[in-house]
Amino acid sequence: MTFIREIISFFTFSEPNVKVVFLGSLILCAISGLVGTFTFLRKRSLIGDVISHAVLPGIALAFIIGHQKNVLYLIIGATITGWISTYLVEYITRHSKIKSDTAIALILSVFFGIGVLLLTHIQHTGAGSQSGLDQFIFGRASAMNQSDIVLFGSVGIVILVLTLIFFRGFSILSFDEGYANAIGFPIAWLKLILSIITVITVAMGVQAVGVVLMSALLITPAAAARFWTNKIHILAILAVLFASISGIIGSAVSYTYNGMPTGPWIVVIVSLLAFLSAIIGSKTGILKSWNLRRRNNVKILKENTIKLFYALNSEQPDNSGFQFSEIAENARMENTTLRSGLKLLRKEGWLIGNDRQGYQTTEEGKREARAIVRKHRLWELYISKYMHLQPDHVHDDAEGIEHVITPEIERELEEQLDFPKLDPHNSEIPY
Amino acid sequence: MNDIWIIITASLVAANAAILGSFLIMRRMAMVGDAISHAVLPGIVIAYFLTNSRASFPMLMGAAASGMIVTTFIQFFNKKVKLQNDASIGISYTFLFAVGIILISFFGSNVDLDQECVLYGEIAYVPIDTLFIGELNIGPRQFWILLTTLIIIVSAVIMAYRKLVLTTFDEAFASAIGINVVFWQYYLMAGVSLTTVVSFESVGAVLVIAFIAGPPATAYLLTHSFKRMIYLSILIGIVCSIIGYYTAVWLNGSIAGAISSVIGLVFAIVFAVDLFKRRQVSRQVTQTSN
Amino acid sequence: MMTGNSVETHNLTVIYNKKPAIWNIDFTLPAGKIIGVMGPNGSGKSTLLKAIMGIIEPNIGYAKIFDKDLDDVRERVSYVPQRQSVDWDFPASVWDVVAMGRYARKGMLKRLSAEDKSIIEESLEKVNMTAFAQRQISQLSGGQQQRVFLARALAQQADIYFMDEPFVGVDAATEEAIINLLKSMRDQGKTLIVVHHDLHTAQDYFEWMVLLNTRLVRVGPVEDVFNQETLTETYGGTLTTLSKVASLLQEKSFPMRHK
Ligand SMILES: Nc1ncnc2c1ncn2[C@@H]1O[C@H](COP(=O)(O)OP(=O)(O)OP(=O)(O)O)[C@@H](O)[C@H]1O
Ligand SMILES: [Mg+2]
Repeated sequence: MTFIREIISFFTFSEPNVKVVFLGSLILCAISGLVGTFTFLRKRSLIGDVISHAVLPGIALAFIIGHQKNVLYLIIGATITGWISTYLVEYITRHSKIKSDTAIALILSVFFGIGVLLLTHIQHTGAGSQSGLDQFIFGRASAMNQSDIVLFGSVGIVILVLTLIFFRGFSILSFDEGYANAIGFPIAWLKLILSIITVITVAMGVQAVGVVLMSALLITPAAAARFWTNKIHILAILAVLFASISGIIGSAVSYTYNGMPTGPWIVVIVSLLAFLSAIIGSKTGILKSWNLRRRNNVKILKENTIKLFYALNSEQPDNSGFQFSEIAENARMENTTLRSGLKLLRKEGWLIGNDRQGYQTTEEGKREARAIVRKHRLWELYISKYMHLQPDHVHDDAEGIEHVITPEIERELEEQLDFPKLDPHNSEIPY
Repeated sequence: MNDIWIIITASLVAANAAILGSFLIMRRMAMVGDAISHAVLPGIVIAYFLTNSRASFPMLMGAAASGMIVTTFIQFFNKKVKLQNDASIGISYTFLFAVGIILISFFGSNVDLDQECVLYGEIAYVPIDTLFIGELNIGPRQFWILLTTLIIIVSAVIMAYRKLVLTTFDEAFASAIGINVVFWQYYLMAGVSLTTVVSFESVGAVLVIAFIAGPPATAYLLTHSFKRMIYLSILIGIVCSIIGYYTAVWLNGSIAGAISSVIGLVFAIVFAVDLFKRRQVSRQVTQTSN
Repeated sequence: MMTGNSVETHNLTVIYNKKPAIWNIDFTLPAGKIIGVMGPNGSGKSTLLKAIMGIIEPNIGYAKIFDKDLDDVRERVSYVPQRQSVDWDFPASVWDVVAMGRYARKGMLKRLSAEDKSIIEESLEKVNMTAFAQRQISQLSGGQQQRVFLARALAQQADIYFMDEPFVGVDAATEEAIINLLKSMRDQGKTLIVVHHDLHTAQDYFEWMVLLNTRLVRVGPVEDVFNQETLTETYGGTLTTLSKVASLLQEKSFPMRHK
């Protein structure tokens, strides 16, 4: 019960501090989601990882110089070391044979090591034992105070405005850097601005999620959003939304459970959103491809079933109705499959009848049967002519391809083959 | 005596990581090592909680299980739903690592693992936790575990050396002469998982990456022979461990942190000298051609 | 002299991302000949070689080498990959790379014998790289890299060699030296299957030819299959319908075959 009460107390802001935590997490996560959209689209997830680990020494240094936890100093320090780290990765890969993944792993772990060394040094020397600096490793939203929020808010607004101004430029940069360069975009400047924004975002974001998991806050919201849309501005909006939701829930949990770090919860929630999006997302999700596969299978089954009637009808042109056993005899499919195929065709109006009276094709059914056989035979002819395949090799191929041939391609085939009469097995091509 | 044990422990981690790291960086898979080292956390925590001990075998099982889960996730994102590769890896391992941290917070006082130790280990406590045969103190538990691991890794690499080199240098040729490339990839990954798990307690998740990437990258700049690169990176790793240890004592800070700082420093020096020498050469060439 | 079939494929099909890269390839090639594989970029030449050698598992169909399953003749098969397919910054010497050619026969633990070493030296000699034996592979020119790959294949002492664009980035003199080497190998009864781009030299180099554009366009002795008409078919636009269908398969994630 206390848990519920705590949750309620969180969302009703009954304590003044709650509002701060809530607002702080919201701002930080939203900005990360926005900026991360470009990190994701530029395939720089690993660079995000480097920056987020590399802010740690900056934070520690800022503390050593400032002698206390001043958020502005911390952000400045973090921005500087974060910036240096990306520069070094680029420098190492450009000026030696070392490949980028090695440079990234090296810089990431060395900067983090330096940060850990400095932090432990501060803690052990007494001065910083209550500094709460270890909160930067996994994030502790509840440690934020009012003046932090003002700072986050103002920097956040600056970042938002900059992103909006340069949105088009960033988008083109993300999709095709070479092209952006070719059409005269000032890509050097755009890249500089984008990377400054990214580093500052990371430097602030670590207060909520910590350095270790910050890269997730940059890429996971955008990745989750990617499953829903192909449009970059909608992608950005969704990423901000997903990040904000996880930020709010994560900070609520951290607030409710004493001693729970915020970062891992935010990351777990945003990852779950990504999983869900992957499964049900409309554009590239699993559900969609299942659907597609199911629709394909239905189409194939329908066409294969009606094709059976083409052969039957030509043997017995009076169209008097065929028994199930007769149909099944020539079908290269299971009886149960055939039954569901027949059912589909009846629903479609291509067939009438049932097991007792036998099945008959309707006019439409006859037309469809001719169409599929025509596509099959045209394709056989096409590949045997242009690929010089033996006639006995073309059938299997056409079995698969007949189902994808669109009317447009069919016309193309007919023209290229000059409206042929016979297929490679000397069977007639029905028009 | 304690400092000797700490240095020996760190050197063993360094040697393990140097051997595997040499292969990893030549295969452009350094970040896969990073992902594995983070992703094994939940498995370790659960094993630790269930058995309430730091026994290595359950931890290894747990780590193997999380390793399999992370591979499945990466496959799911990358292959099933066609998400780009870098993001697939990024999402999967941060998720598992976050779950691990949450589990630690949940079990809280029941488990004497803490969040920071996960990241930078507790090598300073290694000498305290010793093994006994009867009454006889035979030295730190970690030492024996890491030594065993080193023996396993060294013999595994010697046995498969040619296959590992061949699949690293030229996958297509290797598979044309009938080597199962995928198998040897997993063989190597199994070694990396083993090393990260046993190094976890002493140096933590992030810093084992410093050992995997740093000394091999430095050695790579210094030699043109792959074998020598391996020997040299072991040597560099050990030297960094010694210097790092005394740096930590001097600064009164984390030992693992200090060692990776030294690794970075040594790399920086070698890199600068290498760059300087190459510039020198190209200057001479331009001068003589003028 | 080698007789009989070197390579035989049946309905060999490789599909990347639901799009066929090679599609129902069906042919039989003779042994003891230099055989060219030609087709435009992206027509599946490399994929075809890899599928025959089992480097990639075909989605449909199979290939046989010397009328046997691949696993039974592995030792007799050698491969010269496209030069760009490896990282030449790998820390190794020319000698190290050529020695890899012996691994296939030596197993993985045995030391190289004096005989192995003389085979390696001989191979280096044949491609004129003896002077570079201890050179770092990162310090080689493109043509020298190509020759190292050839030497490695020679060291294997195989019976059939698959070569992916061995003449790319090679100067005229080296190209001539290589083709003479290939011809002398052929005279010893070896089979050479060579991916090639240059239409001008094709007729001089090859006795047989495979013309490929995702599907097999033509296969046969050069004098039969190498003419204006077949080249237009291979390189010209008449196969657009085919590629449209291939794209449709991918777009609609249609199975190429179904039960
Ligand atoms: N690993 C892969 N994943 C996805 N698609 C691939 C892969 N390898 C090749 N392809 C695609 O398969 C087709 C055939 O490629 P392949 O490399 O076999 O062509 P190629 O004839 O050797 O071309 P080139 O003359 O450029 O060497 C191309 O469309 C290519 O994009
Ligand atoms: Mg190719």
